[in-house]
Amino acid sequence: MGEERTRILSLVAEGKITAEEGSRLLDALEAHGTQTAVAEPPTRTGSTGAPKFMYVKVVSVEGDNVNVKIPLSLVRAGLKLTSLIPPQAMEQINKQMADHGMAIDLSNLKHEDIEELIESLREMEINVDSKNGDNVRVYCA
Amino acid sequence: MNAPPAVVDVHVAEAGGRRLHLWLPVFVLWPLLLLAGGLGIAAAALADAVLFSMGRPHRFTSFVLGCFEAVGETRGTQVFVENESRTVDVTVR
Repeated sequence: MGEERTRILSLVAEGKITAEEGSRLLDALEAHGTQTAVAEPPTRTGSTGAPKFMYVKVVSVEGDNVNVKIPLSLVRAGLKLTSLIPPQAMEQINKQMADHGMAIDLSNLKHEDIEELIESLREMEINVDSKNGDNVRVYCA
Repeated sequence: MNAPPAVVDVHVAEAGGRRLHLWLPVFVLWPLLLLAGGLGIAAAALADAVLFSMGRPHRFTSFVLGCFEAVGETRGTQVFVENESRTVDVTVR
């Protein structure tokens, strides 16, 4: 993107385009860079070290696309928070989760388990393709 | 523990070429957050002490601190939504 920026600036300097046109081009370039950064998160191939972000990517055939990048440290903090929920509230949460088909006892979640869970997310990839062509992908990188 | 988010960047681009860039300085709310945090921690610590003396120990203080930690960790969150007519990009920095 640096080369393109320099080229735009040199076009302005040479008088081939006006300063206003140059500014518009720079805005467009910046916006394109931002979108590309989100739309195409780093691939998992060849990644080393602990993953830092969880990516949720939804591609709809109707043209609605959603990309969400969540820091894994936020996931970690959220999981840690569950172990601090007061026991009475935890009972209610566990009951509600069990009623909805998720029989997980969150009070059993220990700090070591959380670290292990975060570490194992590195290997995780969820890829859902619907019949109508919509695609949902969740992974960490 | 990370500092709370300082800025929220919102980019909206419409198909017609209209663009909107909002730079929300969340850091101006930090003093308010500090005050709310201080009061929250004090109240939680008091509740913990009272409940402990009644033989029903709780960890409300840790819970409040955990909430603040979670708020701090939202830095780096990015949400990008695109459809035929509009593109919205929200970044927490």
